Amino acid sequence: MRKIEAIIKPFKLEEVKEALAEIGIKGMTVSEVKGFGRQKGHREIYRGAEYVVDFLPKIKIELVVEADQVDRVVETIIKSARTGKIGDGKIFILPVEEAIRIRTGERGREAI
Amino acid sequence: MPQPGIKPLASERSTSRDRIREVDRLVKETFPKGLKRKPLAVVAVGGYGAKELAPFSDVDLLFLHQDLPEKVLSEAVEKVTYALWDRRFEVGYRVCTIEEVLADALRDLSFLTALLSVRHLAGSRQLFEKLLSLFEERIISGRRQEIFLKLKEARQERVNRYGEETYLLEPHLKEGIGGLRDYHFILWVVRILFGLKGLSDMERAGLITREERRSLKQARDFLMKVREELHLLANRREDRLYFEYQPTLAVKLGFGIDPEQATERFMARVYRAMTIVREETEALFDHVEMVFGRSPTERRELMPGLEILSGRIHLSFREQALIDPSYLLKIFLYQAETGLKLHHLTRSFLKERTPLKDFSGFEGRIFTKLLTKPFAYLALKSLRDTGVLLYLLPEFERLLGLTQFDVYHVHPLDEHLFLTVHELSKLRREEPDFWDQVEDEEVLFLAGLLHDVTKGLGRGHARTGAVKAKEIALRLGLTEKQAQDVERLVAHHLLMVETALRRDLTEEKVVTDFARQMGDVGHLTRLYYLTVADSRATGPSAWNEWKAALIRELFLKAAKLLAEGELAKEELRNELLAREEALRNHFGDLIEILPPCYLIHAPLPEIEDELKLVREFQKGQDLFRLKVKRLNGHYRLTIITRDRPGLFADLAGAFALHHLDIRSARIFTFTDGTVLDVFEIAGPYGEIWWPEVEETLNQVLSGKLDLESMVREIKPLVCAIKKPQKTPEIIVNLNNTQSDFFTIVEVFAPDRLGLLYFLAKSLSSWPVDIQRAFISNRADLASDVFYVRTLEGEKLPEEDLPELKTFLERLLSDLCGSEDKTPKRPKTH
Repeated sequence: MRKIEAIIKPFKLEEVKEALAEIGIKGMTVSEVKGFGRQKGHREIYRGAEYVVDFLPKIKIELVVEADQVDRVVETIIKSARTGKIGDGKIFILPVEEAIRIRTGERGREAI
Repeated sequence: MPQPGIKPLASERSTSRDRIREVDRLVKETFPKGLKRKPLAVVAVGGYGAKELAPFSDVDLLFLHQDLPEKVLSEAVEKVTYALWDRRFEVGYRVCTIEEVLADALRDLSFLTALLSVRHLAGSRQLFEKLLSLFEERIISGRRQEIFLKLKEARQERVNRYGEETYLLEPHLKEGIGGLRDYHFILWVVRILFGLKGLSDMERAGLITREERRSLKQARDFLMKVREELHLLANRREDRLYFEYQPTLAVKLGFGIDPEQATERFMARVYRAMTIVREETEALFDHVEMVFGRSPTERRELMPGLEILSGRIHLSFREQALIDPSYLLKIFLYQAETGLKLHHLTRSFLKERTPLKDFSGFEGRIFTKLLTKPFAYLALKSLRDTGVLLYLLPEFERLLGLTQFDVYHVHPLDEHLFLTVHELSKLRREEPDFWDQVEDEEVLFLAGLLHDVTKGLGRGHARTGAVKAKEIALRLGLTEKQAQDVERLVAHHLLMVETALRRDLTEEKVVTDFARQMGDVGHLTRLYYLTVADSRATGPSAWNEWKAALIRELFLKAAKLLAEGELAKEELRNELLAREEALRNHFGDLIEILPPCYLIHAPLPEIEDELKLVREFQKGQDLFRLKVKRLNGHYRLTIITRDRPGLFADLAGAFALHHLDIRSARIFTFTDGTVLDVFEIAGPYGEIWWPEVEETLNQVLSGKLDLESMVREIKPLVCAIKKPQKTPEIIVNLNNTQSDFFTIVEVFAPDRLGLLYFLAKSLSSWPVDIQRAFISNRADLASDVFYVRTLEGEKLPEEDLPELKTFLERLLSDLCGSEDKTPKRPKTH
């Protein structure tokens, strides 16, 4: 099992969600996060005053899938989240030791 | 375990009254006959004492005795409680002497209040009577105020706990604010302070009106009924209306068949009932405090017939308020200004009486002004409580307590609208930076109050609400212009969140389109504040720093375009709009990819010609499309191709190879990557042999020429040789603040052959992406403006600018033959 964490642009959430649903991904965790990487914050200057944003709003998607599904999911996320401009985000893949469904106690494949 | 043959009474459907009768009977029957003459009594206390018993409520009993031995007592307790347990009642009991009862009552407020509603069930009546009189004598009298303050404190604790927003969506029928416990508080307070028993006593004493008594009773009965059904449904003592229970209860209690609609109606009814109980509780507490207040008779006149009495607003020309709506509204206006509550006499008078005249032709502007005052939220609540609101805005009848079926909105609709007004008032203090551009507070606050006015009446409430809001604004006496502004705000009230969260704000087109929809800074600023207030008034999950950052980014970018950019001038905005309309008819979706600066760069017929060419280019497979038009003494060349790095340099280079003089150029990159350039070009001998130029362009664009070395080698024609200036004036300006989407590079330098090529080439090699350029070469002075971005589509980092500036300056002074600098590149002349 692998955990896939993707940081994407906020306005891409719907598209990514739909694309993942199309390849049969049934659940995910979505959070509103802030941060920066190569795309630094920005500043807006309006009427002489400066408004600085250091941490940019992003969306983090987390999902756990079987190892053999990883490539498809990653490809789908890239395809749907890409704008080609800076700040499109990143994808991280982590090994998962175990998954357990709290209600039933099921483990492994059954639990994801 | 229940004994066989005996039905569990608790889970049975029954009215509270029957259930109590049954428990009473059981207690009386099971009370050992042999103990009848002993000093022992069984007393009903608490909810059971007050004859309020839901299916799974505790049956609270007090075994009152006078020094009886343990053995006798346990016999009585066992007999009575076992019989109740067998019927699955939860029994709570105490076994005490009178002294113990009184001591406990002093220590424990909830026990004290449980003793306020006691009933004799079995055993010694004498002992019971003794308890009653001692309780009155030793606990209540002399301690009335003290107990009241304790009750008040206890209520405050409850408010703190149950005032949390989760309790709004899933109210607690008993402990929640406005729940049954509040109703009890009313009874306890009047019992302790004034010795009154029940609502009828209160009405006789003038504490509440007949109407208030009726509505309180109704509210309480309704809440009891819901609680009853809730217990049965949950099959246990559950007093909180969780989501899972709401639809079933709604249908069961006859609010309709469609679960969603029924739930909305049902919950609206619950909220209304709880609002009534809450308001009455608060009014009573306020009344009592006033009575106990330090200066209960202090008076100060606000205006004839309106005064501050005991720190509350008091109406003295009562009858006039019924015939003069403007006068009536002044009460609330003062409230909104001062933050003072209504005097209870004024409140109950207004609740009791209805205005005699229609609310037509009154000063509605008093109301719209009221909305902008610091304590408008309080005034709105008073307007609702007294019912005056509905004379003013009958539309609110439907909205009172209306639930919104989603997890974001934690407040009923009327409350959400009031809170939006409240949040606007808070924003004025907390975020004053842009407030001066709101221009018209009345418009903003009225839109805040009305933005959801048609919600729940079918889809598109922004659209339908806008129409309704305008109608109301006019009715309240706003001007046509103001009413239109209210209408626009309501119509747009979802747009800003949608755009900020769902669209790419680094796209100029997105922000420009939004800004154009806004039209002017005033409307945009009002919408910004309305959007923030609406979100903050919705609930905790609808608003956070994360969303705030996106909304603000959109606001600032759009405001800048409207205040300083090409949208700043109204005539230009109108022209833009008109042109877009005109072009949409012919070119449809094509116009979606055009930046606004393109739309106004030339007269409309020229743009139409160009767009025809764009369409041909997009349909075909050509590398580029060219169109040449001869003008007076020079040529206009329109070229359309796909964007790629270094494109502009290549075009400029190709012209240089032919010794063509670029008089001016306008370079546009459309959002789909199509490039449209318009060059005005003069040939060295007037005529230009275009097929040759076109062939060069073809080779250059397909990458077949080593352009750089070729341009370096060309020699100026004799006729074009100019005397080099001694100290060429070279100016390079880099500006990162003027636009939110591009870094603007501005260059002034003496013109020479190939200058534009080398300039563009250097920019591309930096590397930057030239999205737009405006070139004009007059009287040997080149004045070039480039709109550039990084290859990833951002403005250049601030820290890179000085270096780029030096780089360009050096390049230019090399090219233009400045003598005080060591040239890095070989001179070509």
